[in-house]
Amino acid sequence: MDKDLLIQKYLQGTLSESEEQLFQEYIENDPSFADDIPFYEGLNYAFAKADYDQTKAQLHSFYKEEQKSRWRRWSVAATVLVLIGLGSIFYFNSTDSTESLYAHYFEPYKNVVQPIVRGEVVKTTKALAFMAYDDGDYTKAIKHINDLLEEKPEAILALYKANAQLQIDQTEAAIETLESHVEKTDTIYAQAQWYLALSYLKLDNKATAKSHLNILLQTNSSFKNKEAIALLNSLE
Amino acid sequence: MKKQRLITGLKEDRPEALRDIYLAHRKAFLRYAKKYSITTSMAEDVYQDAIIILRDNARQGKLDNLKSELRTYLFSIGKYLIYTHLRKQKKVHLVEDFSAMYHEHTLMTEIVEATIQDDEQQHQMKLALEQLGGKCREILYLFYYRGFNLDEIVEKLGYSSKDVAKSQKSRCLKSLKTLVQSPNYG
Repeated sequence: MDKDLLIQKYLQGTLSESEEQLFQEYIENDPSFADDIPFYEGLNYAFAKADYDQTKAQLHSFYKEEQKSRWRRWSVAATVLVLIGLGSIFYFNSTDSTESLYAHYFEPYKNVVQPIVRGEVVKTTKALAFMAYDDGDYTKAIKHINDLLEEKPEAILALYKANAQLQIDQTEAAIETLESHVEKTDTIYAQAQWYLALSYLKLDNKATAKSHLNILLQTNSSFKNKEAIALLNSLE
Repeated sequence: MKKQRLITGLKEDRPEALRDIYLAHRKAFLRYAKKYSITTSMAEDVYQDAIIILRDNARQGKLDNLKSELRTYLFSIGKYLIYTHLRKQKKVHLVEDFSAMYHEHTLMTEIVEATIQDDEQQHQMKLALEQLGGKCREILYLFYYRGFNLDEIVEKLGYSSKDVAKSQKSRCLKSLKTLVQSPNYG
């Protein structure tokens, strides 16, 4: 058998029993063969080490790559979170500001229609409606105003109904009430514009709120003019 | 079959095969290693060594008829390495018999620990190999370290015949011996 092949098998650890015997014979009888064995083992070790180091470096590069892509994924996720965070800060802030503007400016339209005289025995629907309104029982007030509106649709009643609706957070319904009952020619047109503006403000619809404030300022009425200007400024 | 494809890839030293296996089981192994009192960086190191041993065993054809999953095999190597590491640190008393495992795997640590030559000789061999031409290093690497036969070497390195490959190997070996005996430190 080829000595080289024998050495290869020795290094590979794949010598058969008979090859092992042959190998031992060579060691004993061939000094140059025996002398060379440490050289081959050294060669094998050098290759093993180089191979190991190289593969280790390769694996380390995979590891780095993985860490990097993990970092990239994290940073993308973090960026998204930060954006969502910032977005929500702006969103909530804007909601807060319109909300607080609404709260700051809204006060229910005073009952100037039906002075309540307590103790009257016979009460008209109108009286009942405004009693409820003054008592802050807005649901009851709305119910009575609805009856009145059915009898005779008066813009002023719609204004009170809308106010009552705003008080119990029926903002959309309030808008609907004002828009369907109040005409340009009505005396409370300016008042309606004010409450429409506030309603849209509550819905965080700044643009529509502003346009209603502008309409209000274009009327001849002086109702809430100062407030409307101030509110417009804070909405800019 | 995916397992066979990966094993073939490892045998052929395809970087993507090494990469795929490395990434496929890394997280699970690191999680598994948490059971033992070793650091994360140690666990990573052990995992890389386990991958190298897996690759070496694949090269030697030991995985050709592998019945278990690659992951199971890889984890058994990793577990063995963790125990070896802990035993060195005297953190664990060897209660289990690892001798069966010891024979099953060719361990890199065995090769590294089986220091045959002293540092000076190792250094000379390293220098000599660096000075040897790339083609010579390759043929010696494939024949002695990887155990390729001449046919495989002809195919891999593109020699015109087995005889050419054989005489080339002899010539390269002679050059290396000369370099080892009289290393050119310049």
